[in-house]
Amino acid sequence: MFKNYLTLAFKVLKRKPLYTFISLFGISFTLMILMLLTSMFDAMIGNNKPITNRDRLVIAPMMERTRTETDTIMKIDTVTLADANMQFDTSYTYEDDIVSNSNGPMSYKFVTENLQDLDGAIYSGFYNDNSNIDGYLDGRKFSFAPYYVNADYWKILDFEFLYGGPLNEQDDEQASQVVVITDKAAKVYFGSAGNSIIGQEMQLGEESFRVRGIVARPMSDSPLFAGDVYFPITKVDSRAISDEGISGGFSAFFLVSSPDKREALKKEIDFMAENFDMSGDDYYDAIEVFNATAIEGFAQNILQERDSERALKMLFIPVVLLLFLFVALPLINLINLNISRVYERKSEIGVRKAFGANSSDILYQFIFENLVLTFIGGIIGLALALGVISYVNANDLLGITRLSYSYQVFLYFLIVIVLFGFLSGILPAYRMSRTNVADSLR
Amino acid sequence: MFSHLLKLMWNKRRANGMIFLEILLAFIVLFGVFSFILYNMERYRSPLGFSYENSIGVRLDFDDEMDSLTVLQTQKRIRQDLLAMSDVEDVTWIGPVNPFGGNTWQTGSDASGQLIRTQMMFVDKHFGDAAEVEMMDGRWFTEDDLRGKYRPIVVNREYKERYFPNVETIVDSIAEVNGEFIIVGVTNDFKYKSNFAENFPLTFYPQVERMENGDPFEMMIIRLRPYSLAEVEEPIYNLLVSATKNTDVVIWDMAKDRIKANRPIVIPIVILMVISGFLLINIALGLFGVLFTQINRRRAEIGLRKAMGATPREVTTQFVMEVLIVTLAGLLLGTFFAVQVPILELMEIPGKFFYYGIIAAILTILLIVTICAFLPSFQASRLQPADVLHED
Repeated sequence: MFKNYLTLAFKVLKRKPLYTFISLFGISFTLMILMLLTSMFDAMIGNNKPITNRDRLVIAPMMERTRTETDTIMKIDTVTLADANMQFDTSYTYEDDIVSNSNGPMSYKFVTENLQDLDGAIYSGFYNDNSNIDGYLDGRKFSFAPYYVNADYWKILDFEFLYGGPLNEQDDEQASQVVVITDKAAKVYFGSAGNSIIGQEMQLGEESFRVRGIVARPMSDSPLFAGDVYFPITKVDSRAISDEGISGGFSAFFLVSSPDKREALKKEIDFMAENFDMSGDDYYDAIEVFNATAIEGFAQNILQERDSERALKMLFIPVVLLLFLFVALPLINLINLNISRVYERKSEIGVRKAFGANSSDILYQFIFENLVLTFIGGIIGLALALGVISYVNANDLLGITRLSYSYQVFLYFLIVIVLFGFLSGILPAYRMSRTNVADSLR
Repeated sequence: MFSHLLKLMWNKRRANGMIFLEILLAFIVLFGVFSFILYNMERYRSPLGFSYENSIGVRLDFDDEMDSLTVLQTQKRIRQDLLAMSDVEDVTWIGPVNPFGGNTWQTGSDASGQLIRTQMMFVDKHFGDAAEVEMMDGRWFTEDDLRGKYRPIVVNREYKERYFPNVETIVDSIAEVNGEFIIVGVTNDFKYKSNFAENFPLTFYPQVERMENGDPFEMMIIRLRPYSLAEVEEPIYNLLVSATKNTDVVIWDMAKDRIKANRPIVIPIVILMVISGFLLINIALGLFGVLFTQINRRRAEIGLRKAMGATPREVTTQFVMEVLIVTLAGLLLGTFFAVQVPILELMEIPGKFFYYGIIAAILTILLIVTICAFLPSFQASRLQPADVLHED
């Protein structure tokens, strides 16, 4: 029976090439776009290396310093005229206004003194991404984004080390002349990435550094790891280390033991900031340390919106809505097409029913035929999607972000195909299975 | 005839329901996409107001140990050395805010009861020439202005039009923005963040005050002779490294920086256009298929109408009108939902873009539906009564 259905499905598809083409076009393109979107989201917010612990992260990228002044507001309540002189009855109200604020990353002193040993955090990673290294190699320019990171940084982020290994506490203490680079940076500087590069010297800026490790370039574009070369944190400009102020170029992020511990850590950071002694500052009188979970930080970063809840809503409600519309349209289109297609086979159904097939047999047959169609479309869509993904990745069309094609994406994709086939087939099949034999054979 | 068609469509509401739903959803998608694109196109239309094609940006780091006078002299010397290079046309020093750089400084001051909010840029007296800024009124500030009682500022056109729309000129008036300054010039439209940035009031301050607080200029814009970027980049780098005795010198191509600054808007626009283009093709093909079957099923009816004297034109009109009625119903409901966006002010975007979006979406859908309906209808109208009536 299964084989019969299959043969029948192919025969039907061949009989009306125009309809088959239209259906396949719709299915394959819809599924391709779904696949691309899944892959993009997986790359941007999936648990890929080096951020496999995404659900257990709290980030504190910067702080805000504010100055509050009390503003006296005079209000004239009544005006009276006495002896040709105006007399005013006034009242005063006082309001606290934030008259000035300044946002930015924190100083080395501030992060190491206040964000180092938080109760809720297992590891506290600090990084400084404030500079840039340009240089010339045989007249060819290279431009690297340097990250100055502490040893915990490598424990929180599980970079995929192609060769060599991470930096450690000793490097921080001794300010060693070592560096971890991405495979891309290795290709730019050495021409290739390989085991032989470990231990070689790299001239970066005025100093020379020994390559300790080579990591695979991350999939996604995140301010946490947008670097090409990673130095020990103490190799940062000595002025940044000795800076006595609280603002500077350092950001922090933390690993907690389980996702539900994140809120506690965020509260702990807020508490620290609220009670921070600002008597040393001659202008600002309060600070706030921004803190968010990884996904909130992602939304905040894209929308430049500070309120994490609002940012999440503003990002995901439109995305879900758009996604719904983009899927619903081809789906309705396909249902529409299927209804008219199936209608033409009224007499076939009549005959089958007259020979004893019941409604559910007819229903199964049509759904099956539709699944065959979706599967063919799905395979075309998959091929197209893989083509687009490799094109986008090869040309870095999305900047640093590259599209992933993991087996997970493929799994989601299979589910989507089946759902799509089922949904677009069920309504026409249901209608047809209820046809009256007498009517259709007339 | 219209009421007759309405009745016909109502009788087949189950078959038409799906087309109705499809039109409705397509309208909503197109409405959103068009509003977004039109809004950004409008922003794109307002010019940047400075030249970037052959310019490079440079960031330098001066030793904090240098006192401000030494820094000032070094900067002056660097400028002269650069100008001596044959490919360099002009050089200007700028403060912490650079075009396409992504950072913003903004200040708000209460000036005589009016809240004046303005973005800030810190530049030197050569900026107007080096970046080829067009002036609407007045001139760029000079060395003499800096010695005056009030320090000079230059503002952009939006500043004047937003805060002093009815005044003929604001040049030579005193502005209270972060202190008291004298306005010496007004530029034409000027925005520095990206082509898609909002046209916002902007004030150019001389760096003097910040310099006194130990914050010297940190960036430069160097305008080069066209097509000389590749050759002069390394000599400029070497010159700057030796002048500052520091390898922390970053050079970037402003033209490339502009493309990067536009990317957050351009990428979504391209993605949205590709997806909605595909959706439209998909809908057109689907509609075409459905109408083809539906009309084919009514061959006998067509034959009968033609036998009774209907012209091919009348037959075509009838089918096209039938589809258009369903479409209009879908568009009407869609418009009802869409106008809620500007009416309830759900978004922080001026309402007119949503109305433009509605109109553009309606026109696109009507065009597609008419084309898709016309082809099968036209084919049907050429049927011969003798052929089709004879079948049954």
